[in-house]
Amino acid sequence: MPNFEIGLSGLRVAQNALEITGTNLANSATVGYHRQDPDIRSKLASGMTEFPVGGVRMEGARRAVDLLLERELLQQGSLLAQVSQELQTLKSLESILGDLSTDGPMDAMTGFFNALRELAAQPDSQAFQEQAVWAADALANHFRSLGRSLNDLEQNIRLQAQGMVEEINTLTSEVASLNEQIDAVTTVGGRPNLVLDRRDQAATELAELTGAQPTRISHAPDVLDLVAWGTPLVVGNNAIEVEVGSTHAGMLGVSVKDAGFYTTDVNGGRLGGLLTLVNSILPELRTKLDTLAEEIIYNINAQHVQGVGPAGRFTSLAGWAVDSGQLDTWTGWGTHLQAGTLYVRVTDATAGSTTSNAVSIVATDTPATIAAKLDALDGLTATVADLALRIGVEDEARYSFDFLPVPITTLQGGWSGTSTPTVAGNRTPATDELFTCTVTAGGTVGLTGGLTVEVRNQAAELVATLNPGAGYPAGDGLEIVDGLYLGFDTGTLTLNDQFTVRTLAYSDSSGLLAAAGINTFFKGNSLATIAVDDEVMADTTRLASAVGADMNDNLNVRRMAELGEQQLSALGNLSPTDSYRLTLAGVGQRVLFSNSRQSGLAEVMQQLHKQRDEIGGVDINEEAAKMLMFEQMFQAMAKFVSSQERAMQALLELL
Amino acid sequence: MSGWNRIYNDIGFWLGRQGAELARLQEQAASGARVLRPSDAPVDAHRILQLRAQIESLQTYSENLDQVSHTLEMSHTALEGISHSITAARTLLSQVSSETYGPESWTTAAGQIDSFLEHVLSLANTESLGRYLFGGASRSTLPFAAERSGGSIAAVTYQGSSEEMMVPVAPGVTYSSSVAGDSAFREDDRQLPVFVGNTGAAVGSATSSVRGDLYLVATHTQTTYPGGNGVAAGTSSADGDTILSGHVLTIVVDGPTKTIALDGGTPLEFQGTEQDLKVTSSAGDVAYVDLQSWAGYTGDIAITGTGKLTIDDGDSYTNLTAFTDNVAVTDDQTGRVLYVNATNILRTGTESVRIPGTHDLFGTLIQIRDVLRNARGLPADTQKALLAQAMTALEDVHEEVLLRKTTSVGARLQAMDSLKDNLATIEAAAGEQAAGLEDADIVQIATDLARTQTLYEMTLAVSARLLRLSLLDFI
Repeated sequence: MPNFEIGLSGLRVAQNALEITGTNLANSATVGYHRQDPDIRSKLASGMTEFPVGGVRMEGARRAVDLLLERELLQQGSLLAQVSQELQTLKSLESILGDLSTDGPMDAMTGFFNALRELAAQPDSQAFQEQAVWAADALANHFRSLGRSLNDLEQNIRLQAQGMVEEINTLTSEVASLNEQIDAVTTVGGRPNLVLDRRDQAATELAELTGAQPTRISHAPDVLDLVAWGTPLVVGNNAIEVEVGSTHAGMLGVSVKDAGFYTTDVNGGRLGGLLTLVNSILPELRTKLDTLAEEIIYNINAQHVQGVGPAGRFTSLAGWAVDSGQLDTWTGWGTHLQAGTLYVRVTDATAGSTTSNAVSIVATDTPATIAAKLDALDGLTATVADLALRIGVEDEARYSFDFLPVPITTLQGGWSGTSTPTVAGNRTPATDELFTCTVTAGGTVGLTGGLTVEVRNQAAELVATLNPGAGYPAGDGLEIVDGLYLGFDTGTLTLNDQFTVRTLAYSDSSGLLAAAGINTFFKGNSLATIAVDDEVMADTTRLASAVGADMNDNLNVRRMAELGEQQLSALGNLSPTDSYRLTLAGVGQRVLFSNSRQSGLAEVMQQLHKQRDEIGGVDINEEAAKMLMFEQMFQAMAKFVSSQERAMQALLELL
Repeated sequence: MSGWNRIYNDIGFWLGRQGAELARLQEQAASGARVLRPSDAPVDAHRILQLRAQIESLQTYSENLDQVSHTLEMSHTALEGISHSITAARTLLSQVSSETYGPESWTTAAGQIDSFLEHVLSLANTESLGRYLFGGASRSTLPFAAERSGGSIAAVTYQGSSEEMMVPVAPGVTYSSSVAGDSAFREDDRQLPVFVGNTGAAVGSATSSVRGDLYLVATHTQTTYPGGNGVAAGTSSADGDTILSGHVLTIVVDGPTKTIALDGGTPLEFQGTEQDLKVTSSAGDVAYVDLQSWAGYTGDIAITGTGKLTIDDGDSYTNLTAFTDNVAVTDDQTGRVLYVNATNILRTGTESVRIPGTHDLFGTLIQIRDVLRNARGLPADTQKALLAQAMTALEDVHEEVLLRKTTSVGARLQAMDSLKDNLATIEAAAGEQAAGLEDADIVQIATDLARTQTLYEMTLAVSARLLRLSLLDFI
């Protein structure tokens, strides 16, 4: 008897195989799809004959997948996503800092210090004063804009991270849901290839966001558990929701939703990239730029506070609002503020005299005690109003004050000569100097032969021997050291009489004026707050270019100009301009490194994708060939059945 | 087994790469720059920014140098103008002081010297762009203030700064942008004062601080007579006596003739009833005596004249009661002191005092003009002597100070020219180096662009061909 079962099984298998080929062709462009190969096996026909015959059966469709390769793809994909995310933001950062073709903060900084140099050539020129002040304003604006852009960038990253977490939670739910479907199908012996592909694709996308890697927790076959940052995201058909938030230190972290324990140690995936940027790269950059701005503000102010501009001495000065507590509780105590001496000169126009007053500043001082000390000086008034120190004079027509670091002569107790020594010159020592002058041979100035005054430095070393006796015209300057001259008017000098000459590196060794905003050039203390002082902005003749007693020199503005190229310890012994250049180059280096890393990872991914396509990809030609084969098989089996039918017909005709 | 996706992926991957490369090359070709942002070449970018900053600084220094050069050129021109005026004044004075010209021409010459003085003063107060050239660091204050008397300059005071304005003109290099007029027109080689006159005043033992030329005027205050001889100061004594310090009156009675003589001079007969008899010594010293109480005393009577000294035309006086070797006479206006040896001062009068090595241009010209005018009514010999001294001082100030300063400023200008050349060379080198790092190699870009474009087109062509045919086309 003809066996129709063989024909029918062949027809059925050919039909199924054609359907699988069709599925492959239909999904040839589907992302994450793995080719399915029909698993065809022969089977014995029922009712054994003398020799074995049989049909064919379809065991199922094999999914062309290499699990090790897929895992590698997940890992490398996660790394590539992290690096791509970092690169994208770093490029934004690079643009914010300024490229080489536009006028950025670098140009503004160079322009500011050059404007000060130009002002040094003509310190009394209002045009150059205005140029310098506007250049400073441009620098401050660039810095503030930079500060705002960094803030915006950080804010955007935080928002992006929050949006990303929503995407992550959607994906974890999808993976968990697909796990459930897979488990249901596999439990009944099915092969849920298409669902597996969808689940694996969702896992890939999740890995790109989080760096999540597969692990085995639930032990169910074909079910995928995923863990990221040591936190399980998917366990079987359960998805764990996560959220982003700030730690106590203000860092951005990830936590299981509502757990409140935010981890910042997040590596891999785009989220890892964002967290690295917001927790590490951005703060590091911001610290550098804040330090740079702070150092420019402090160092320019430290010079500026002691000088005067063409506007001359002051009759009133107001600082900015400060902490009302002790100085040692102020920010910057120990670095930019310390115990020291503030020298205030008060000029009495009526008496035609200028008195230098030393005000001791100690750690336990408060703005109120400092105001009291200043207020106690003849001609001066000082108060604290709205938390700001204000210094004025008792009579504006009579008194004025300044902080010029001019040399100070002090007659020692027991001075009995009738000649008075005077000091002149613009000496600019790096640190304060104290010279002790002793009359070692007395007599009459300009008369006595051998009249001698010895000058010794703080180490008691003899630095000059002066002879204001015979041959000395009273009043002429005798050089002690470079840039410092002593003169004696007519009269006598008595043996062993002493006087001291103190030269000042800074008239405010405590740094109080700069810290309290008295006669400062800049205000603020960071990248985001730097600005030119309102009074200087309103009146450019307040730009303190001079520090000499005559108030017509350019020494102060020259010192300020030199700061641009001066190495500062707080900037790692770099100058401000070099520091910014290096910061800029550093970000460029990071971009270049990330770019190179991204390029390398993209190539690795390209190779891995190639391998995956070789294993699990759909080849149209191959599928077309299979289609032909299964079509012909179907046709052949149809012929076979037809032949069997004809044989049966012939048999029936014999009856 | 090869997948259809592999072809698509390859196409996407390589077209992406080639597209990015094309975009990069296009950006470089359009901008002409190889390094547009730090990440293009971080080390080169750092160097480019450094070089750019250096170039900008050098440009600022160069501008400062131009400004200093301009000021010094103006100063040099003004100094040359002053020098020409002084040369003309010296020529005039040479002619006037020769025997060819009589004293009547001196008044005319005084007028011409006054014109030179005014001209020199205006040049010394020259402004450039609103700033005084010879004020030192103080460039907004009139450097030389003239005090006038009757329209003529009586004194010129320097009110500028003795410090010069140092301007940064190159990294670590500063140059003085101004000339301190105080040192440009004044000698600074003090020597002992020289007294010309007959009062007997001489150089004191201490070092004087006065400068240039001045007049020491000794005037009489009182003559003191010893008692017991009936002789006393006459009624005109206070204002009329010219004696200072110790002098001797000698009274001789020879019968009915009674004579009185001063310092052994010609005896003068008197009656004994005179209240204000003028007695003159052979040296011309005068003492007015009152003989009304004379009762026949004969012999020598030691009298002492006291007075006062001034060097500021009476603004302040130093009493001359003790005739020591170091009497300090102060100029009330300047505070400077002349130390006078008064031990030999015997009479009142005016001493012309010259302190060699301390003359200034203005004071010397004023002195010359005043000597020519003879405002103090000095004797012709004294006048000539003073003129000769003043001419020497003028020569010294001109040649030792003014011409030297002019040469010094000229030398500074030359040095600055050289520095400017150096800065320009450094700037050009820095610019070249920056351009070398920054500028794109156009030929290289064109070549790379052509190669990448060819690759890009080939990728597209091959892909199109590969994708166009499949087994499906033959089924």
